[in-house]
Amino acid sequence: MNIVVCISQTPDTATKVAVGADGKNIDAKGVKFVLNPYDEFAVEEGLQLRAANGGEVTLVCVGGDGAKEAIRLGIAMGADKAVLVKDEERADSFRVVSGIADVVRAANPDIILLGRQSIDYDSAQVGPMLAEMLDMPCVSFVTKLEISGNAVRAERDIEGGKEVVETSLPCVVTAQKGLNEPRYPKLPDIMKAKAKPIAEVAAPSVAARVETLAMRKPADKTGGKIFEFSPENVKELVRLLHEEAKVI
Amino acid sequence: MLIKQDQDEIIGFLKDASNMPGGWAERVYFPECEDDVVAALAECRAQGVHATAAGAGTGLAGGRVPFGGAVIATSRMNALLRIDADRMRGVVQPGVILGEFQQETERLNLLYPPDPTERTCFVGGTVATNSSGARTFKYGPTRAFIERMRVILADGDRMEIPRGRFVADGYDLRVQTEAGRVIELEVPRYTMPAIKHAAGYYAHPGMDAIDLFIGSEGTLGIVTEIETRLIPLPERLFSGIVFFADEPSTLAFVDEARARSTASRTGASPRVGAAAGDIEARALEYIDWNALNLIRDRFPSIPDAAHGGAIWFEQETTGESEERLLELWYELIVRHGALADDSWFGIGLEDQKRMRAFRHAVPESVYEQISEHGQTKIGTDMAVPVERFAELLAFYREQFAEHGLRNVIYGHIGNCHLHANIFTGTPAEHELAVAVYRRLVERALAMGGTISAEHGVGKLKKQYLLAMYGEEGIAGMRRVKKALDPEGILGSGTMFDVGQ
Repeated sequence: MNIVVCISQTPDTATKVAVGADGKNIDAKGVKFVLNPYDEFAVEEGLQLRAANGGEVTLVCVGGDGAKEAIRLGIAMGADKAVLVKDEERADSFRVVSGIADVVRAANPDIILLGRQSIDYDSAQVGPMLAEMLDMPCVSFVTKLEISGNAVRAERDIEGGKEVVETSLPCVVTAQKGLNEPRYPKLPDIMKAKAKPIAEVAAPSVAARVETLAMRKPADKTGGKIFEFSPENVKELVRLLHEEAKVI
Repeated sequence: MLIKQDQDEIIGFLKDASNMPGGWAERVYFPECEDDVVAALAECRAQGVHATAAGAGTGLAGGRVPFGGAVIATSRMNALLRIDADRMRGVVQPGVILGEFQQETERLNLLYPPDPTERTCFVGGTVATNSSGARTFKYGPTRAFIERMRVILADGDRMEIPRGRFVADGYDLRVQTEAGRVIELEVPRYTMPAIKHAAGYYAHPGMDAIDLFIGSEGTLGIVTEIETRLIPLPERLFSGIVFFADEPSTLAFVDEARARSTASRTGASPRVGAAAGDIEARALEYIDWNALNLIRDRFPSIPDAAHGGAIWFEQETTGESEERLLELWYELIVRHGALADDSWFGIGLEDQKRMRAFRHAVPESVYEQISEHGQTKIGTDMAVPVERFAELLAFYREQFAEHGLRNVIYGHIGNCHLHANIFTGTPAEHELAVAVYRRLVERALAMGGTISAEHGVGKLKKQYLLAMYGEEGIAGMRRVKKALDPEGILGSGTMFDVGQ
């Protein structure tokens, strides 16, 4: 089975994000980057599919040289090879998908796995958009995946329950937490991962279709008001909740 | 200044993580500045009541549990005043949460190493107890990183104590308050064990006064400002949780990892000077088989064969040294017969966080176990010199088996400092556990150990502090207390009883 897993590098989940001087991007100073946590589920699922069906797991990532850290982690977990689409710019989902579509197509995959979204911009568009460009079916937010022959049966979380869907290979699947338990890499594999070459291809020539105009943090919380208990204060509290806080 | 007297509102301040029962107080002050602290203390003196300083309540020895009087809570003195990246210093008020302070320093690529397992503690609390954690193996306890403090004495006098300003001449220590009052102290004459240790006042001839206040558990003054030293954030980190099938292999692995790490740190390693130097663990932690079983539900990939428990280690690396250090660790792990293929390794931050959470899951699960099943626990905090460590662990195991006590053992094996937690369900079992605990303490003391390597004495271990330093030693501490807090206002009943 030819398995492609698209991964990305995101700020560490504990990062306290600050807005950069341009007012359009995060301030990357002091930010530590990690393999997007949802992508870990995608990599793990790819490795399990390979174990069950044979074949190869190829990682595809868009980013600068820094993204190689995330790729190495995926290789240490067990991926066979990796391609980095070299793009130092912050791309919108369209540019990201444009960058990886050709690489993925050339790999002729049976299945393409991605995290349900990257935890930085949270747009959750890359999986479905990639499926559209490759003209493949897409199942997103998957928590259970069964493949037999060409038949794909997937479970996905929906409001208040589960949805079970069927489709066929080749297809795109985006991974939700719960799909599996990502493995820790083995020490010899960590050592070997350092030596594995990462293929590089150039960024796409297409322009982004979404422009970020401004990035702002939510307003800081202001202190609450505390009233001593008295009948007048109850009236005042109700008035303020209605007129000032506008919650009743 | 907010003052709360409603018992429903102050109930949280009558306990800490030790579950020590019986705490009570008339009111809680929430000072927002030094003047508020001075005013709160003045009221306590005027009314002749005790004042107990309170941090976040994560302490395990009952230090902040009040028995009457007032509580002075530092939660509103929670400003991170500054981080000076050039001088590598941080300045905070005592109510700053340790984990948040560290997050801010790390943004600037600076590390504040002290890392007690519970990072929701206040920096003030860590100074009061001289907290330690996993990284203490490499970096030492909180004390090693405190450069300056501001302290309010019980009589309201303020002190600015930078390291180096008030240094004892032999056993004679003179300090001066900002009002110009000179206080003469006699440094207690006991000898502290030369191991990880957090019981009783820090004392040795020629000591710095700042070290007397660090670890004094709120008995000598209220800390209002703390200046810490910071170090460059290590470029990279490599972590592992290594499982073993039998305990002798675990201990042999630890002995070698500890000895080589210590040699690297002190420059005594034959491999120092080579391309990348030898391994140097910054943390070396143990989780025994019983403890693994306690958290297995949360971590199903714990191997079934891990009867020898697990060792969690962290190794700082650089892009240059990483490869060689990985090889050295791998060689060590394989040579000691670890379950290498089932062990976990992390080069990514997320994996490393999960490993820290794995270690933290042990005390959390112990706490859940006792609170959900109405049990109690007795926890040890002793440490001994390295040459006696295996003997002490064997004695723990022998005693628990002999008396049929359910237990988990885990903790800072790099520092020869383990926490054995005994679970007790009935009063009779509790009594038995206390008797066994006393035997363990006696054995640790006979080996030249300490009764508390990190949790402090608080109100729960006074009798053991007495066993460690004797009447003479306690009298030395009382004299210090008397000179700085003659009316015995602060931290009444913590560490020792003033009136005795």
